Amino acid sequence: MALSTADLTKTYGDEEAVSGVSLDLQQGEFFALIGPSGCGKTTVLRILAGLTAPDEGVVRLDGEPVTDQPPRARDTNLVFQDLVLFPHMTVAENVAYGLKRAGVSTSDRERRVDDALSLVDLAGFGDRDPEALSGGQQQRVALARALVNEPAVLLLDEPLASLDRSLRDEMQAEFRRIQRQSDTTFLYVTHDQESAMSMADRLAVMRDGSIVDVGRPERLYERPRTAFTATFLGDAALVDGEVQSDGGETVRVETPAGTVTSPVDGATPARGETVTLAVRPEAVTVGDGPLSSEVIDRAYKGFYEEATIELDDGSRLTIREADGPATRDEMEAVPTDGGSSERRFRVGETVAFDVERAVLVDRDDGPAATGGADVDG
Amino acid sequence: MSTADDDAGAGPPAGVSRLVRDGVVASGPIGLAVLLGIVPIVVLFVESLGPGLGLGNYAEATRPLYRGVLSYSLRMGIAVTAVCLTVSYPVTYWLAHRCPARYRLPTLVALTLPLWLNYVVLNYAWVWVLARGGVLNELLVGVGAVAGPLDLLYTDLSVFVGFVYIYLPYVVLVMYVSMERLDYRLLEAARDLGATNTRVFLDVVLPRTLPGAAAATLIVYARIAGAYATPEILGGPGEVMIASLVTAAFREYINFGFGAALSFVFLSIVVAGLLLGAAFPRVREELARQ
Amino acid sequence: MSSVRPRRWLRRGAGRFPAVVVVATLMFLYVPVIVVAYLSLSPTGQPTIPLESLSLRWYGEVAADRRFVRALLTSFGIAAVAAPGGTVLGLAGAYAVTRSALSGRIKGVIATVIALPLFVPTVVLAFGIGLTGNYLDVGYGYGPVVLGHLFWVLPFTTFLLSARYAEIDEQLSAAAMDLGADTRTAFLTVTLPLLRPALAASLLFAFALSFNEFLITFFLAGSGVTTVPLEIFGKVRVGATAFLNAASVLVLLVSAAAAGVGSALREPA
Repeated sequence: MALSTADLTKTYGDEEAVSGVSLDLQQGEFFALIGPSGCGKTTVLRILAGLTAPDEGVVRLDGEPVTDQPPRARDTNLVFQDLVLFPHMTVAENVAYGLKRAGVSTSDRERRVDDALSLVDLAGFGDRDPEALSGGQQQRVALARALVNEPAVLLLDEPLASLDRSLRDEMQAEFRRIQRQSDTTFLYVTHDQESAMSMADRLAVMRDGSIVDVGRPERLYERPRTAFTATFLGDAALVDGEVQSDGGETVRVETPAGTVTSPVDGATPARGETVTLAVRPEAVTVGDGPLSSEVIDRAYKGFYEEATIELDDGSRLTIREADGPATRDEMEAVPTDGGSSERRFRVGETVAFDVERAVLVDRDDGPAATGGADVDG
Repeated sequence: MSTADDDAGAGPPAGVSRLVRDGVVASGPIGLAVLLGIVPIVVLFVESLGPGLGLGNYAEATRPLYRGVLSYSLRMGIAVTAVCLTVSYPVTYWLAHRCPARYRLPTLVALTLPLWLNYVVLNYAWVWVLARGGVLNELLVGVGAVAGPLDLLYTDLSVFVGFVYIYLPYVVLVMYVSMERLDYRLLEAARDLGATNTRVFLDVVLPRTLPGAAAATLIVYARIAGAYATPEILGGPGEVMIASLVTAAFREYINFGFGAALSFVFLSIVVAGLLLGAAFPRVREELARQ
Repeated sequence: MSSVRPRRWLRRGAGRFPAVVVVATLMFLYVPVIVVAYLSLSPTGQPTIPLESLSLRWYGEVAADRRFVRALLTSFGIAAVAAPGGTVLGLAGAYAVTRSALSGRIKGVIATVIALPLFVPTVVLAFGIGLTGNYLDVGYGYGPVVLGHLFWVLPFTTFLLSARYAEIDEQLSAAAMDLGADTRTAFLTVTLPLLRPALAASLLFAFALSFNEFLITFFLAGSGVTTVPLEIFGKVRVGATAFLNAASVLVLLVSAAAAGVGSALREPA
């Protein structure tokens, strides 16, 4: 276990920022800790880095408890959210800073700084001023400055938050490559579920100071355990329904969106019990099905179009249909005079649909909160 | 950053040892400020009650003669501050919102450089301007504006001008800080809604900068009222200001008790003004900014 | 249409009014100084405008005047102690009121006590300090004067440095510690280098403040110590002379140079 924590708790005033967080990171994995702003993920990261002391709980690095050690004594390094490169030092001096503190000899230091800069694709940039670099290059310097120390775990605090989308996508791929190449354990904290799912080997979903679910991205996306996870990781509608079957591997639920079969995943719902199902837009077929509802809103999303339909009990479902050419035949049928393609959905129309898959989720904690102040920074 | 992250930089080894270390670091400047700031005021207060813990010194210091000195000093302070503020408004408005960006810093430096020059020398310069044979009289007589040279030097007027000269840069600096924080879009919004220049000034500029002006006033009028060099250099034999009395009590008469009582009456008025200002949150904010 | 033109003219006039005041203010501030500088070049003892010819005679006289040169050396000597001393104390004060672990309330009290010379009339403080010195029987002279100057420059250095301190990202120290630095190393390798321009500015401003300080010195100097402001003040009361003009220009140049370099160092930061 590269890093493990047990029952970390931190209270600020009356507010419990972190309550009972336990994590286990395998050597060499890319682990993402995700959650909405203010869920306490940055505080967890700072506890791991040694910049904040927990009220309770233990942090272990490679099995050794380090809870009371100052940051300098820990085999972790942090890539800060706003990078905090030393403005009065060159790129090479920034990267060499940790090695200097560790007393690495000058020749070793130069070699390792060069290696680290090559690893992040910045060979030859050593003499530059960090402020003269682009945003993406600064990211790479921050990464090199931390990685060069060969930490047991590299902690990353939403370092891509300030970049624009295309640069962010590029840097995500880079992070992945550098992580594999350096064989370093990464703990990546973010509120951006998309980047977390595309980069991480495993994710932990955090909410209100606690971890609500841990697993591989595919598992969390396809079979979320809670309504919060389902709605936070991608789009999902929550539908309540009544259980129609007893026991077995799957459960049949009668819902306003029809009768849906879902795997039970260890839960034991009884016949007649009211349960909640999460329905992903892509699990709904449109235009053909036993049910129909009215479209109350639509939105053009580029290669697909999205519509919100209202079910009989007033709950809402998001449905999608690919826009533009879906098949070769259709592609050839598209007029070439530049006229825009026809809209798929119209507000007020009634569409037929069928729910193909749904996942039984724990409703206790409700849907993911959106918006609000960006408390986590 | 959230409040939850306010302990940035404070590692686990924080706690008592860090507090002790920081206390030791702070003790140097605090020690100096207490020894030369707090202790002398306490000594002054004790002295003002002596000998024999009475109010005799205060009775002496508040005789009509000295009340007049105090009142003249305070009126001089307020009048000079008012003129400085009147000039500072258009100056800082232009500087903060009208001045081309590349001239802003040089102009601000030019306007505030006198703050760092010697006020004894600066006031002395006015002797050459205001004297009977000085630049101003030569000019006035030369263009025929007056028949003969005027007696400008060693009058209330020359003291007044000397004070404006010394304190105008200070008021400009304080008002500039206030004016710079004034969001220019507010002025544009008011104009867009049909306000005239006058209305823009009365409805937007003045309310937004008044706390800064109040803070500047509270500090500057007291400095002027307690100034020593300017009336000594440019003043005549007529009106005496409070600092001259205190200085004389210390240096010549050796009448410490009287001087202390006079100082304390003056200090009480200044502190009362500051407390009054601090009662308004926005003025307090501005005072803290000084 | 005819009614629009004068109004537009008026509006433009009103728009220019502030710029006119700025020019007038700059003239008000600099004409007297220029007059003295011009008159300091007089070849005679009682200059009149216009001067018949220009001469550096009085600068020579000032340089040869033992009293003035001694006063100049005294002022430089006091400022040479007060400026670095005040800057070091100001750095401690700035740390105490910004970064330290002390509580917010205590920081507020410290800032207020340090700011005392800005709020309390100088003559009251100077009198109080003189009186205290009298009671403690420390007498007059260099010791009390230097201490008074340190006290006088402390609020300026403290608040100049704390403003810069507040601008430095606190996370930089955290980053240094994450990379293995202890508190002291983090301060020496990160915070101090970033404070350097502000420290240099503080040094120069404190020098100018100490060099110009008059009233506190007036109360504490006694007969043994004469600084430049005291020397000039004494002479001014006797009468305006060409000698005094040249001495004044020299004093203005010294303080303007210190303050000018100081602001150049502070602004781009």
